Amino acid sequence: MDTYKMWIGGKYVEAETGKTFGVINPATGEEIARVPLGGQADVEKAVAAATRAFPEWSGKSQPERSAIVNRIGALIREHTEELAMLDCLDHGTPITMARHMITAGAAGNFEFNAQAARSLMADVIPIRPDALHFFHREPVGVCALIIPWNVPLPLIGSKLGSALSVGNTCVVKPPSIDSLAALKLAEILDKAGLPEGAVNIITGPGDIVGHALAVHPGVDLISFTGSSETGKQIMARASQTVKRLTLELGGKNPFIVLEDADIDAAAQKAVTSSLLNSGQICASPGRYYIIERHHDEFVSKFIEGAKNFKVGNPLDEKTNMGPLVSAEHRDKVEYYIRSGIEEGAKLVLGGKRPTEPPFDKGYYVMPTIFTNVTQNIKIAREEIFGPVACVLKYKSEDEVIELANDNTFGLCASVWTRDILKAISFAKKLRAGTIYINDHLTIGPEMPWGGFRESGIGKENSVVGLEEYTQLKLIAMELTK
Amino acid sequence: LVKHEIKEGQNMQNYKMWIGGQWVESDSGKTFHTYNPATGEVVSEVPLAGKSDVDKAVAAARKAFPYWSRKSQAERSAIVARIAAAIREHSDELSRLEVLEHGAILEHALGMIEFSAGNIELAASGARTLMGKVLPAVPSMGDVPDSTPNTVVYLKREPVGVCALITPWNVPSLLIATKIGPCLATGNTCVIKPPSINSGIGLKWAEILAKLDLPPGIVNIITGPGGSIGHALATHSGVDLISFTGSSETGKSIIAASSQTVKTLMMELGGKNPVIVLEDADIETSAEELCMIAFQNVGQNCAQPSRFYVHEEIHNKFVEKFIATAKKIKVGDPSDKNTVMGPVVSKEQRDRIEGYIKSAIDEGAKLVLGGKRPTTPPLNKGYYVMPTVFTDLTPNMTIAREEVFGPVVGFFRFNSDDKALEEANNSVYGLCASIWTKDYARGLRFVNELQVGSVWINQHMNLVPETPWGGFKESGLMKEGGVIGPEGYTQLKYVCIKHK
Repeated sequence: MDTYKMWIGGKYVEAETGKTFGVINPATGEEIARVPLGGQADVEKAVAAATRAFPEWSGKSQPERSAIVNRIGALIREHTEELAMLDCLDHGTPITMARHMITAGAAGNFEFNAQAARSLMADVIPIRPDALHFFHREPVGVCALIIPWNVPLPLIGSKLGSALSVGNTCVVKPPSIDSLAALKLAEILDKAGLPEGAVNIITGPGDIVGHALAVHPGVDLISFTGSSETGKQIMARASQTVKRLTLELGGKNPFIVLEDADIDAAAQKAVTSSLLNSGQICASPGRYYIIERHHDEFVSKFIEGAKNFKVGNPLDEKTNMGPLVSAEHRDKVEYYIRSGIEEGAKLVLGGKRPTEPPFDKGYYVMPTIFTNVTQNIKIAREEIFGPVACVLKYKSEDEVIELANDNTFGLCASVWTRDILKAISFAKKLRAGTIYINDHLTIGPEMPWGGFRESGIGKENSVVGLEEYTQLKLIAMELTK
Repeated sequence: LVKHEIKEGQNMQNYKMWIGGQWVESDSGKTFHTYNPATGEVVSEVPLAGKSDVDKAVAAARKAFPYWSRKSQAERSAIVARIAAAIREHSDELSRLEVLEHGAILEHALGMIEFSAGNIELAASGARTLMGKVLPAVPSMGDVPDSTPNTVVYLKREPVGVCALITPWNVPSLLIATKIGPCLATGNTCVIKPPSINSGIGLKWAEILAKLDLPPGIVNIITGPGGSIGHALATHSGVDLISFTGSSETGKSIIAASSQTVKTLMMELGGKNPVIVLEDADIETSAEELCMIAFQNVGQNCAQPSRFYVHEEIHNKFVEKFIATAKKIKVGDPSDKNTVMGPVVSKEQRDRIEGYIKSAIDEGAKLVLGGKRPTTPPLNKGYYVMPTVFTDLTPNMTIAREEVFGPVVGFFRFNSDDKALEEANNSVYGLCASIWTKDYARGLRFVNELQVGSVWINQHMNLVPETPWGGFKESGLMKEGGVIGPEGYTQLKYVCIKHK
């Protein structure tokens, strides 16, 4: 069995304590590798290395820095198969999707950021000819990038791509339960021409390593993607050293089907949006609001599509959906399924683990659909983060806007209608950071991503996201004296 | 200038030109008259400027430039905002003159003065946040490869210099405002040449500005024919930018004339604007709304609809409703508050429009409404043309290709979206267009394919101070006004500073 190492200051290292922990393949329940159990001392080393690397990296010219980040993208593409396999093994991502996550997701994000940074400008402010007031755009400093377990590599691409492109140095903390591809990435970064310590990758539990980063006075910015609960803790901890924060947190995203929607298209998209990555995507629809008239038709098409969504071994090219990421997470999803049944929702599909071998050993939950969900039961309010769809009925458009906005999350939403005008007026009324019209779940490097309310702070991706990793210094010059 | 019979109106006013903060006659001492298009009576007597007056005005603007361009942005914006306030205060006076000298109905004139003040205010605001750009630092020549670039690199925004603002007669005050606001707010100085037939309005602006204690020479207003002083401005080596609104024909001659001194150009020229009405449009409201828009200001707006492509399924019903609405338009004396449509601006313009009407009939278009002057006194004395509607247009008719700039519209039928698009785009103009439909996805496909500078869906000519304006193809160069207005009156200087 492989034992992985962390990457600090350009060196492959074990934890200071020498301790390791096991990584489990969620499709089989078997331990497949061991990784270092990082702690406070390792965080100190990583932050110190990033701090040392900062003057050199931030001092490089933009073309040179962009060339290096672009090279990271190219190297990732060359290593697609290897990285995709690790994602498949420790996360359970179906192999076809894993490849896409590596190329379009991870490499695509590095490449976009490298390009966007070359023309990232700041303002010269009109004052008067004998005064020159302008912004100098600078990197923020040392960034702690705390990566979630649901799509680790694309999010490393987004956060690390942005942070590096504009001259920051970083400590990356990949998720404990699926850190293998991230640790493998160290070897790629090693070949790209970065100064030693510009990127450091350390592993360990969030409540130790993540906590240490959040309170560390040497860390200037934290970019975190994960649950709202953890996000709030990080925010509280980071408050004592007033760090810059980008938080991409949970969602309970409404998917609203209006009277004149294309029901086939909506049902088809519902299947992939709910089940892709076993529903472990922050943008997945958490609540399906279907107009009464089309409810039954939509549900039957949704069920039919979900039945054809092939659950299986992630290594199989034909598999659409693999297991959940861990036993703990499966238990959490099953808890929500039980709670749905207990609170009166009607289970119309799935709700169980597969029983036939070899799937009985993995952490699988079959595609699950509830109807008769009411607005205030737990499964309609909390983020499940699994292959569980909750369908609610509604009567009028005014009513559904109110229902959709009745949640503390505000990540994204979709509206399904043939009437674009109506869609726009819906979009303006919905309280969420991204509104899809006749689509759901599409995310790309050019698309700014970030939620309203308790779904987060700031945007990631796009030029707007890149700007978050910079700070503006006003230089105000008097030319008369 | 065409010889007119001199019939002095009761309110005839003498004006002087305003150069370098002084009231002046033309060097030659010559003057000319402007006329009330509703009665043919003289409204104003104004100086007839020549080449030497142009030289004086340009010199005054040039002299004022260093002082004006060095003012702080806050101060300059405050002064420009004061101009807006003054225009609003003199709204009644200016509107009355637009009625007398242009033939606008009072309601329209008041609206245009308010619009003018709005344009100037927005320019004053916009200039305060018109940013230059700081670029990523670049390596210096001779630097060791990979060393930290010791440079500060930025694009600095600067005024262009002396601007010649050549304004049209169709909405005389509005276009002065559209140009003067962003021009002054960004630190340029200017020479304004109002349209000769509405010179009184231009010099009324001078009177209002003169009361504001502006730095002398930042605005100079001179009057005379485009053929002489417009040309003199276009070829003048002291003029850095020309902003012209008017016909494509004149625009092209200005572009050619200004080419020898390589001036920055902002050209807002003609249009032959298509309206596409799809079969699912609301016939009643669209026909009514479009009819009122088409005949507003007697059809003398560049943005007005003139080629109507109506789906054959609804063509007849639409035309019927359009004609019924047009019949209700009260044509009459613009000073009468019940009047909806006054005269066209001049005798020449009426003759030109009547020439187009004749050509349409000769070339086989079907005249279904109007086509004549009103015969009842007192309208027989003014330059009136009744609302005129043609159907059965074909693409090669003169009426389908050239800008009429009067109360004349023409209808085509179509039966496929592709055909409508092809015909709508079959024009040397590309100013604006509108699409009328309930199917927005279909409407947005038209938006993508139409070769025009502005497109509306289910409305037409909805213009506000925030709207930047400018056409594609032979309809012009650049966008003017709106939220990006000040940008057009600046130039970017690349600055690269090496430091230790």
